[in-house]
Amino acid sequence: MKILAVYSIKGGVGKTAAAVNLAYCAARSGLRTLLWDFDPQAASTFYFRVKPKLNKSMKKAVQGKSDLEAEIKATDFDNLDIIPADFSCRNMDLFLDAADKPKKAVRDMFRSVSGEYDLAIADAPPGITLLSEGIMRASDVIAVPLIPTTLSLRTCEMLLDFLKENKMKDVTPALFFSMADRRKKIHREVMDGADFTEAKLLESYVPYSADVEKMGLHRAPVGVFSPKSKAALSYGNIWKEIVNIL
Amino acid sequence: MKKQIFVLASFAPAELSGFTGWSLRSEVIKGSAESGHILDTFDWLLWQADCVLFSSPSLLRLYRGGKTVSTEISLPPETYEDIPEGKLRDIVRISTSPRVLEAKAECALKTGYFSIINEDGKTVCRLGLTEISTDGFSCYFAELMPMKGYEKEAALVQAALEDQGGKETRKSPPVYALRKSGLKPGAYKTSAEADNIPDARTGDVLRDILLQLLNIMEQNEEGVTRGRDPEFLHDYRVALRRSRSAFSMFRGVFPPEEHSHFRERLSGLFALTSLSRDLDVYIKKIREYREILPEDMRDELLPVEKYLINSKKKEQGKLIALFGSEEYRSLKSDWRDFLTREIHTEQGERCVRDSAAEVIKNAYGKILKSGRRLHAGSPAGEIHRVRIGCKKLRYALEFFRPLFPEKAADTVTKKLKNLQDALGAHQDYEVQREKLLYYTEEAAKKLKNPLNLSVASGYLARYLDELQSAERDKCLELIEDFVSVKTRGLIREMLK
Repeated sequence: MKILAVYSIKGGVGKTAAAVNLAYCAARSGLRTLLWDFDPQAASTFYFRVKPKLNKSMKKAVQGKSDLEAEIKATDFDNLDIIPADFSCRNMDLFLDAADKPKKAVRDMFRSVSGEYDLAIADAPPGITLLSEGIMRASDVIAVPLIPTTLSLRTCEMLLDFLKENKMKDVTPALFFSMADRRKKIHREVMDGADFTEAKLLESYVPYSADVEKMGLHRAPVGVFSPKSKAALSYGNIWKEIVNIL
Repeated sequence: MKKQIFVLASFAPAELSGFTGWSLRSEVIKGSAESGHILDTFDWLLWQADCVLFSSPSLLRLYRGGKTVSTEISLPPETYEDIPEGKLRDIVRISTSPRVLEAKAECALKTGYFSIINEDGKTVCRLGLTEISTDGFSCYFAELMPMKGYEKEAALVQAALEDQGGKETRKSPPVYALRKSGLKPGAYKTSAEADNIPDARTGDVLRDILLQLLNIMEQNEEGVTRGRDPEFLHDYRVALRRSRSAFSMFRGVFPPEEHSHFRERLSGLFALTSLSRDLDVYIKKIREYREILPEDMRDELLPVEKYLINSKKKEQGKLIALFGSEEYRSLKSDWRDFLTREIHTEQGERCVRDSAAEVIKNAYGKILKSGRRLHAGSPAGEIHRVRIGCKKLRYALEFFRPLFPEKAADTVTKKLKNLQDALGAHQDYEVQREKLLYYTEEAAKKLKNPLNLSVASGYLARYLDELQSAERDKCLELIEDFVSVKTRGLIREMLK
């Protein structure tokens, strides 16, 4: 089972929308896909109309004492299941801190559900925390959405430095612009001038789109209610690029 | 929780909503409507192999043990040979060859898959609904497809279906519907047997058996005249042979005048159908023999095959004329009339258990006598006589099977069947070789240069001779066992 984390240090960059839509694209391509919502806000969970409720607290899962299989819910789409988030996820760092080997614990949790899936996508919460570090260490690829602004590029550099300093050589970062509005000068300049030597910048980007905002209204991936929209097509293209890296 | 199928007389979505609080999403995820026929052979060979074959104008689907195999077709198949190559064709071939397929019932299937959604609009399980109607019977099949993490919800839907009268089934819709329809799949039998009333009068039981056999003959008449499926004539003749055999084995049961009258007429009828059946067998065999020949000789037998096919056409015409004749109608009518009247001798008053035991004992005694005389050099005719004796014993065992202890009767029948198979093969090689040479001669008369035909035929005759020789050794071995003290003991145990 390959693991793709959708992650950004910064919040509000379209991370959850990307995780949900990439999971939908992966499942449509035939991969048995598990989306794991680690964010206590449970937005991914909401988008798939699943109740934000876990049978057991994440504390036991971190300790390897509860069966994660029992937490998995089928979505309405073939090949796509989800581990929902609930409010107990807010304490994940505390649980990990108390664990014997916190850096390894997240990887072990992924391994415990790896039998039935080809791909797991982690919707990781923002910030550099024990949980996000654990997710990064467990992942094969980290998809990083970037709003084309100077500040966003700065946080991205911070992330790349963090990966380097912590010697996470096996993890491949895949950066892509998100919520990009090429009508704005600043977005155009940042996108055209972006140059990352340490990581791959994907050619495709997610445009700023009302369709992505409507996901909350439809409670479904964009591809379901607006399959021919620019947003749906761009997630499809990003998925194709990520598959090549995976 | 696994997928479950419930059968219901009717289905009401509103009741399901009332019970669960959830609704059935109105749009169908996917659906189909098909109408066509259930196909099977005359004697339901597919049904006996736990298969149901549904044919729509463009699709053929086989239901077997909860699984289905489908293939596209352009016309409903008449035999397995009309089905495109693949698994479905193989299954139908193994179960039905050489019989033809016929439409047994009209069948309409309408299927739709629906989502059951909760208050958040989330699908909690899926429901496949199939409405099937066949031969005046219709019902619904609800296939409950639980979703991971929603097992409790699926259990509630299950309860709702049960509340509507749903009963779980493992059968596919056509299999269930056929069972419940007015049709009686598998009801046709080629053999007749007595009821388990050991003290019934022999005359009554014999008449009943003969009537059953007459009905079997009549059931096969239409198929014989259609001429597409040689097994109709085979079954017809087996029923007729069984009738003659039963009639002659119980010689004293009916008045001598009637006995000899009907014996003669039935024998005459049997003789009139013999050549046609022989030709069916030779045509089948000659095609098999072609494969035995070296490749460069294979086409040399084509003139014989052509001759046989033409001869069969002529004989088929005679059969149609025979079955349509006044003479045939009157024979059947007289025979039925005789069998429905209580005419029998004092011997016919005896209880059937005693009469049957005596007949079986005598039949076995004849095999014992002629079987013991056989040796490696015995002529084929003597081996054939043992075969005739075996047939009579087999018929008697089948007719009166319910009157004797099952275990002993089954053991004797199993041994007898093995012996009959070997004796049959031995005699087949004898007749086939003889007839091959005869038909070669007949076909050669129409050829300018019959040399290659004669060479191919001679090659085959030698091959058949070798096969027969191997079969003879097997026959002698099995006869030795069948006349042994052990088998005699089994017969005694069965008849005591």
